[in-house]
Amino acid sequence: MSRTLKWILATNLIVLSILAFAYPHLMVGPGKLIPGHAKLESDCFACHAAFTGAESERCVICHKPDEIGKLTSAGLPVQKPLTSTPFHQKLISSDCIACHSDHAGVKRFRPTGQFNHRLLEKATRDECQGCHKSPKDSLHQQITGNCSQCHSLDKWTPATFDHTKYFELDRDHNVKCATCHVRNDYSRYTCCQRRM
Amino acid sequence: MTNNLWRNHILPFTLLVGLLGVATLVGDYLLHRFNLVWIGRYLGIPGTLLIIGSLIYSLRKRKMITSGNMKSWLSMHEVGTWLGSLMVLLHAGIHFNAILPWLATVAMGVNVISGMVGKLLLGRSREHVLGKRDHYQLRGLSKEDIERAVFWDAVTLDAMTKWRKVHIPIFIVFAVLALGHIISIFLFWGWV
Repeated sequence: MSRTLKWILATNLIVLSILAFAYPHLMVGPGKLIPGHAKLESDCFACHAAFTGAESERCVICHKPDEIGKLTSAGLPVQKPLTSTPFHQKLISSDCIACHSDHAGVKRFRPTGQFNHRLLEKATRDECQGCHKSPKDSLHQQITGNCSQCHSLDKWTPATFDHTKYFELDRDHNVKCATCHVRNDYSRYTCCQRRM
Repeated sequence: MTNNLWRNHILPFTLLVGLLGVATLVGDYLLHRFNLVWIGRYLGIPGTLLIIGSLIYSLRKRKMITSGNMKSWLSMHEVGTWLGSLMVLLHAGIHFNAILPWLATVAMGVNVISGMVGKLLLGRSREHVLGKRDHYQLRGLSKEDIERAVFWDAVTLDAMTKWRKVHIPIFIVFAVLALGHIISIFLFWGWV
């Protein structure tokens, strides 16, 4: 390798290194931050700790768990809350990263909005109606509480209700719920119109 | 340019480079299709390890290590870098987030191509041009006629020789950029 080429290489790499420190959001950041965090774009260590990644202790400096869902990080009342009931106060720990990600490139792998109910305190976790409204269909209107009997903490549908216990859904009955239970009426089914 | 050099040497080379591109696109499509994008995210690690492992050939070539058969190390270098590059390309996906890792990816691509030029084209092409010169000489052509007949082959050979020479400098660029990317990941990523 000629001396000139070595110099050109070294100069380019030094320039790139300087650019990485001057513009980390462009050079090494995995995509844009959410609009609310735009001003933190070139300050990686506002959220990240060296070698351990983004840490919740830094999030709660601005986002105080007691105020999330009630007050903004500027201390003003939340005008349009994202959830009907504030729940961050009832989490077993402040593990923000368990649910939230920020950079656009990271969100591709960790979609936000997937709430992990296991992070709630047990009493709150068992009280689904504290946050969720009961479905309007006739079956659910008859039931109060004890949702976990038929539904998991991961997703509402499909229900974990054991249909076979009452009627086996064999190959001749491999259909959607609404085929037999019209108008969300789970107290009846269409074949014989008998009460369950 | 005569067709022989193109058909016998450049076309297979183009196909092998093309295969890398097609395998990347198909792999990336399948990862997205089956919701396995997270695999692509971690393919950078085995890809990098394969590329680093394949450097044993370079150490052997420069006599920094003495054990092992040179030909076996070369085969490992070729297969390891091709597969490693495929994994890194899948890891990069078609997502443009930061400049540094993309510069590293481009440098890696140039490095792979220059390496393939060395493997598939240069030696055989040199033999091809020399063979042609000998053939025309035996037929009694004058020196000017021979040079005219092999002109385009000679130009192609010259271009390939230059292309081959960028292999080491571009590898250094690739290594430094990739190292920058890896350091930034270690610095900012939450491994625990």
